[in-house]
Amino acid sequence: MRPPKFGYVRVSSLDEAVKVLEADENAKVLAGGQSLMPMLKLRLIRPSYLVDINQVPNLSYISIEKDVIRFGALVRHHDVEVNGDLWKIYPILPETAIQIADPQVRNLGTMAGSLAHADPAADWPAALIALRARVRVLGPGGEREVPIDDFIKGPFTTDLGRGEVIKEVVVPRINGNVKSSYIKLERKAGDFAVVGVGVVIKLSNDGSIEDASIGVTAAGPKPFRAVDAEKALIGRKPTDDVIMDAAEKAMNMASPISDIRGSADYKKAMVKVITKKAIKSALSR
Amino acid sequence: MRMSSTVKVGPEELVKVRVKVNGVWYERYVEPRKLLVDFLREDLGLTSVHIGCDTGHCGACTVIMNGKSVKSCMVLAVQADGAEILTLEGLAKDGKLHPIQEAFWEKHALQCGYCTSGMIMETYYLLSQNPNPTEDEIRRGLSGNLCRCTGYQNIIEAVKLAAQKLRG
Ligand SMILES: Cc1cc2nc3c(=O)[nH]c(=O)nc-3n(C[C@H](O)[C@H](O)[C@H](O)COP(=O)(O)OP(=O)(O)OC[C@H]3O[C@@H](n4cnc5c(N)ncnc54)[C@H](O)[C@@H]3O)c2cc1C
Ligand code: FES
Ligand code: FES
Repeated sequence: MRPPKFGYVRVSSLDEAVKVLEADENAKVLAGGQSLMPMLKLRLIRPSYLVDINQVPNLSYISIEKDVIRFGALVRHHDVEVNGDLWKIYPILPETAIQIADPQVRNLGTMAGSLAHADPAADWPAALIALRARVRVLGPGGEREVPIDDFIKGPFTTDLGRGEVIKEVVVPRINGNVKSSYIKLERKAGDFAVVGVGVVIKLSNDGSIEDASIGVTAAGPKPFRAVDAEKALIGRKPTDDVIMDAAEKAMNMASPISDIRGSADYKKAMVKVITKKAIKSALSR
Repeated sequence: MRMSSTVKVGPEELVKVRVKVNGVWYERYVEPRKLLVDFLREDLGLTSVHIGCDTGHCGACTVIMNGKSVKSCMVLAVQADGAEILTLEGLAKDGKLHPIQEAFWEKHALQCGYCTSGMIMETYYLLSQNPNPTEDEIRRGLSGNLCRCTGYQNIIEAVKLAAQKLRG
């Protein structure tokens, strides 16, 4: 399988990428290429130009600051997987990275590219919803930040407008007793999720749940926040009954479709199972 | 060797690619859409780099690019401009097999051999990151490489032996 013909632009800054993309609606950013290559080979897209950002300097940063953690547009899945500080602060992040595809794909694929691609079964969105992340967008009109919940609009559809690129992903840091986990149900190693659930929980001193944030992927047209499940947890002690109730509420919000990874009914049931597991896994840390 | 100058070529034009493959610099002009796997096979004649699936699933096309393993059917040749690449052809030195190759041979870690160059290159990467992997780490490390013949057990054994040989 060969990609269709396209032109090639290698830029040395994101501003330059914005200029090219603004002038040509059919041009597309090339980051890791791990979603673009299959799309090109299957001729699902026919871009006029690929705008290669891989040589733009200083875009691979994982910058751990006091209030936020910033992930530059060229942070590869592998970079997250091997970051020892992230394993301590938010284990959900490397835990998500390590479950994406296989080592070769993780060496090239980027977090930003995964969000821009917006595959309804992608792993990052569930974890980043749970972390209440924001996407920092650079465009012809300057920069803006979009909550991850609003960034992904539907299957393969995002909030990015003409000429806009993802500059970085911003994850807010929370003080206190914070626990997090991402659990993915997959048919075989490296496959896309049957269902994936990310959980971030903040415990108060008396052991009750002060705050909870839950993202679910592969269980609807787009990854979603399981608001009802969050509400079922907040203010309560995490007993088995409370966790079961939350998991059931997450299931009731899911609207998966039947495909090669399972029937809609099966996937719905799995949202409950995996949500329960993810909550317990977070609490066990 | 990163270059940050802008390049722009149209769909019908050729773009200059300079890559260091197995220690030798090559300069070629390619179509922007040319895949790295086709560049290595057709333009440089490095036919150890196999195409098994062409969809990024089998790992037969695995090569090392700037120290990291990649599936060369999922990379454009232009993306490799300025990069250092290692293929199976670059492993043996002075007619002597690389310890990973020896280990695959000694442990009978292949039958038809189609997956073998990819398996060996991914093993090379795995052991460069983790010289003493557990069996579980080996299985995870090779999860992007499919073999339809061996049942994997001897491949795992070969990786263990290779790790031992490389640690000396
Ligand atoms: C075999 C295989 C298995 C996989 N398994 C999984 C899996 O289990 N889970 C999972 O989540 N993913 C999986 N993936 C997808 C993988 O994670 C991709 O790396 C990711 O989806 C896209 O990242 P990329 O950097 O490769 O983006 P690219 O392929 O380069 O780009 C993807 C899209 O995003 C756009 N884009 C990229 N960067 C930017 C930016 N900074 N600003 C604006 N637009 C941008 C591109 O124009 C394109 O439309 C798999 C891929 C393969 C090949
Ligand atoms: S040929 Fe590249 S992964 Fe199969
Ligand atoms: S030996 Fe035949 S595919 Fe692996």
